[in-house]
Amino acid sequence: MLSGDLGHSLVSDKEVLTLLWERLPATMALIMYALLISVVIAIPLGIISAVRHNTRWDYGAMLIALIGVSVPNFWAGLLLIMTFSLHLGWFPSTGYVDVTQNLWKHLEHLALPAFALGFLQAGIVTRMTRSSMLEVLKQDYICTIRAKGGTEKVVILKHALKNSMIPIITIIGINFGLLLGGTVVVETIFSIPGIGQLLVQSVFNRDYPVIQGVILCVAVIYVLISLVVDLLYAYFDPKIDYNEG
Amino acid sequence: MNSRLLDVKGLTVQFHTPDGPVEVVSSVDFHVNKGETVGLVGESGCGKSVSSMAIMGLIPSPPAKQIGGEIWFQEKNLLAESPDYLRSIRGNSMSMIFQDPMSSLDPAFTVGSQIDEAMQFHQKIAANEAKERSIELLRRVGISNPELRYHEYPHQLSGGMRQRVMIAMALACNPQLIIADEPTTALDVTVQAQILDLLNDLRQTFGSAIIMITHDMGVVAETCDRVMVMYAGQIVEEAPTEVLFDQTAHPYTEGLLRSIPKISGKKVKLYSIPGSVPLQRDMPKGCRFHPRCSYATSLCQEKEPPIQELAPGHRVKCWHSDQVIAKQGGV
Amino acid sequence: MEYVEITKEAEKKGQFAEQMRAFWKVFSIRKTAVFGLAIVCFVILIAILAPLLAPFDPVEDVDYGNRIANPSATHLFGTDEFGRDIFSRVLMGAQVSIAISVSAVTISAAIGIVIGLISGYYGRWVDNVLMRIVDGLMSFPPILFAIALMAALGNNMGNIIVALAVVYAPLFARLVRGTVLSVKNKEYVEAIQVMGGSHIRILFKHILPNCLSPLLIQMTTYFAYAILAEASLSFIGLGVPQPEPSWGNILYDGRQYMLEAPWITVFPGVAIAVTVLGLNLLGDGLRDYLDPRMK
Repeated sequence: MLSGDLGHSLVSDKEVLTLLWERLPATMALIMYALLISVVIAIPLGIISAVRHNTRWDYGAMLIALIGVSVPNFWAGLLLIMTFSLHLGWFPSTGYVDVTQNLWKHLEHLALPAFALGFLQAGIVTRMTRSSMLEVLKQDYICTIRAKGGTEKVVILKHALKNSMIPIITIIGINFGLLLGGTVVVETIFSIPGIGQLLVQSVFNRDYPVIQGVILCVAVIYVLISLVVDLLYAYFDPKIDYNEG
Repeated sequence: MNSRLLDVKGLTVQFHTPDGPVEVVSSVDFHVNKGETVGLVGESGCGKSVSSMAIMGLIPSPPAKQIGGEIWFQEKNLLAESPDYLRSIRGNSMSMIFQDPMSSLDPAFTVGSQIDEAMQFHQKIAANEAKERSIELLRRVGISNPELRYHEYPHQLSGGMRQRVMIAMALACNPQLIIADEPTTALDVTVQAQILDLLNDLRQTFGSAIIMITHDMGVVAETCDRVMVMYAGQIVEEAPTEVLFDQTAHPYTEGLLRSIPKISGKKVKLYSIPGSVPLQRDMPKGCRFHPRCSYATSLCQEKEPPIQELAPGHRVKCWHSDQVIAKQGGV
Repeated sequence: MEYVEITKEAEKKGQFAEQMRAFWKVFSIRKTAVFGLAIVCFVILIAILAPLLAPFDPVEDVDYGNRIANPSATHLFGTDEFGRDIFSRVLMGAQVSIAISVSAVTISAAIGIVIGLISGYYGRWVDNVLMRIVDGLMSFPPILFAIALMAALGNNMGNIIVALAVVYAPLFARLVRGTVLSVKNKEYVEAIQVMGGSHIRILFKHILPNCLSPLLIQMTTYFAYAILAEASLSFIGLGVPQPEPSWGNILYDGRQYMLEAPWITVFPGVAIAVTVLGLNLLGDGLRDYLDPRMK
């Protein structure tokens, strides 16, 4: 196993490594889009609710975030399929097309699953952005920037946001596991041939080498993500300098 | 009138708290002339910081507030001007140095970029020109190797250096008025003296007026032309520095002066004013200082003393100022 | 020492009611937290009374003449592909889902407390070994880890509880260890050690009480996670085996009839979302009350 040979699938007799390579792109694409969607929703929402602290804007944003953390992602997926593919017919309900084949079809197929998956993460990140921003906005240096004549735009989007990023990145990193876990369910609902679906299939087939391979693969991704998080820390917090170690 | 840079008339600041409105500053009048250094002295909580923030237009809003009176600066009443106008003078013709240099600089940006920013907020200026001027400013405030320091982050600098950076930042647009809010309180004693010397030097070269907010009479003696003493949201005494030290007319000022440790002379127990600043909620009737005052009589408990002018420029708010002055010889 | 203990004991008794009153005074300021508490109490009550409230037997009352029926007066939430009453299934599902989550969280908290106390209090190699194991277990995403465990154990209700307990225990161990470390070096604990208090006594009388409030907050949060996790597992067919209802496997049934019978998917989902929402609101309220720094 250490030599990189993960063995063969008991069912299809393919090499586990090959199976993983085939399945990984769909999962990675799904996770990336989900992450993107969650950040694009969550950070503006968090900023608004921090800046308009204790106003209707704040309550509205917090309500959305709360719904985000409370709705199970497979249920969100089912509701999205019901509304947007079965009733409105805007998106395909299941299946997957690779980027290399057709970019538009690729995005069309992944839009709903990415939303279903990103919604939870968006809720968590919104809440963290808000509390982190509120904390930073209380700091003395924010007052210094105002005293220099900085506009609120500069104060919030340049200074406060950069200083709020550390806890936000941390929470994204910690909850990356939720995304990885969520893919299992979301891939199952939307029939996306990713490693999550592979895992479920192999569990039912008692295909232990594949189960082992998927778990190992996920752990490796997890480790890589924490590495990326560490590198981002260094960018957002100049006090961290890995060169000095 | 023309020599007046800043004229504050009847400034009143109220905060709305769950327990009702609280008046932190009560109809304060004062002025600052061009190029002079004025001290604003008092214990913490007396309203001196709030007054200065009101001048800057920076009182934080979350505790709902109400500001009354007039603040005249460059022929304009700042309290009647738009937030945009206020922003355009902040950091430009009026700037501020804060108490704690450790927390007043943004930790995520280099000090250089933070000084550049102070210029870029108000002037169309090319990045490399801003950089040149920032480096020059760093040199002027006595930072060695300014080219190198320009690229450093706040955490790489000592407290004294950071305060120098704050001063450089305040000077970036050649302001006419600098408000220095306890600029030395958070620093080591040796560094304190250096920073005060620097401020004195810069005042002469740049010609800016300074409002020196402090609780330390020693700082006042070293830097100020004129002093205003604040107690519980009111100015209780105002005088040129020497007059204030020689002919103290208010018991509170007397108390502040007696609590400075003297290096010369015998060891005596350091004086401290009994009691503490009253909470705004239960402000005493009559003179606000009477519960802590050794001169207090029944008159003080009932009626608030008026402001009397003892000599040109020497005003005091006390019923018994004559007794206080008379006592000077005996201390 | 005796004297201190006695007065402490007396204080505890006299003050408990007082403490509860003080707690409620602060806690009730947050209307959302009170609302959350109300939801949680309501759901738990329903779970307990489910057999009495359910109009039909969720498993046995199969009615092929009445398959996939719309919601109506007799079948409030409609029926499924076997003609079983969804309302009754959701009620019984509450009992199953909540029983699983409560047991899983309680067991994992108990394991976590033991490991965390030992690790934090004894330190040195014990701590090192235990924490390396904890870190190892934490390096897998919880759901995937649970899936792998279910694959190894086989699916039945007991195994879900075991799997979730194993997955969550390390997180509780970390939390307790952290609190123990911060309390252990406080002067009063050192003073008791110097006076010769036994380890067990120090651990349970002085250190454990300090861990309770962070534990309570985390248990509320993980209760919500456990409900979601159980539903996910059942949804992919690795949780509660059919025909026993749980919120997750009712959803699993409904998946094939989304177009014809959306009610099968909607109602159990609402039940999950409302319960988790209530737990989240309650958790936020507790956090504000017990740990004001976290605001």
